[in-house]
Amino acid sequence: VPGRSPRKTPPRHLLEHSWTFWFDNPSAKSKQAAWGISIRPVYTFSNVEDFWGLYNNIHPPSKMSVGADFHCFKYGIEPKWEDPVCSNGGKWTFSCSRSRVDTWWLYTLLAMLGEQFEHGDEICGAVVNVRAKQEKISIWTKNASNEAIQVSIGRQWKELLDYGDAIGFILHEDAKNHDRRAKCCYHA
Amino acid sequence: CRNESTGKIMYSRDSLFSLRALCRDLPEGFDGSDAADILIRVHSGMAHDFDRDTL
Repeated sequence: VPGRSPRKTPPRHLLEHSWTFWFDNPSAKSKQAAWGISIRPVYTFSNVEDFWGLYNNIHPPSKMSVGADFHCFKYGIEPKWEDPVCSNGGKWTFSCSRSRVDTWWLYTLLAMLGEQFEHGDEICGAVVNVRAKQEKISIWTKNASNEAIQVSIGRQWKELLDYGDAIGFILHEDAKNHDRRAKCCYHA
Repeated sequence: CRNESTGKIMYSRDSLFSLRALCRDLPEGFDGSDAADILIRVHSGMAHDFDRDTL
């Protein structure tokens, strides 16, 4: 329109990486034979404003259905053991009550997005598993064989969350072979 | 926000929180999928207060 200045878009705060939220629908999972087939990418973002725009409008983990898995991974990395970036990695995991899961999940996301980890390049993403008894939050990493870096990530994660208990790191390879009997190879 | 020593774009938790209340609308491209129907709690913008203590 003549005489009217063009609409200005507020400046966006770019992130170091683009990130994708993935959702595994609990109702769809029960109908599928193969694990992972029901995981879907739901949104990719690369700036702070789009992250908050989404996060502010979706259910926090404590309000999601039991059985749901909600992932936030760097763009291009699928939250699956088979992904070539993840295949030699592992994950740090802790369990928490439903009353704390929202805070710790959000703090985990903000630490990743804000590049607060010294070895953030080693991080693939994070996942929250909503379960009936207790929730779990995990950070997936790329190269499990590098113990010093893995332990650094675990320790820093605990500091960022002010989490006091010990946490363990499980290799994806062990999880694949031993399922729930897989043992932690590192602790922090 | 680019850190001079690492060369990365970094944000503290507080600086990210400072932008939260400005971002009330769903970003384009999310609405419409099956997952969106399950995940979205409010379709017309945010209906809850931003309280950092309660998140």
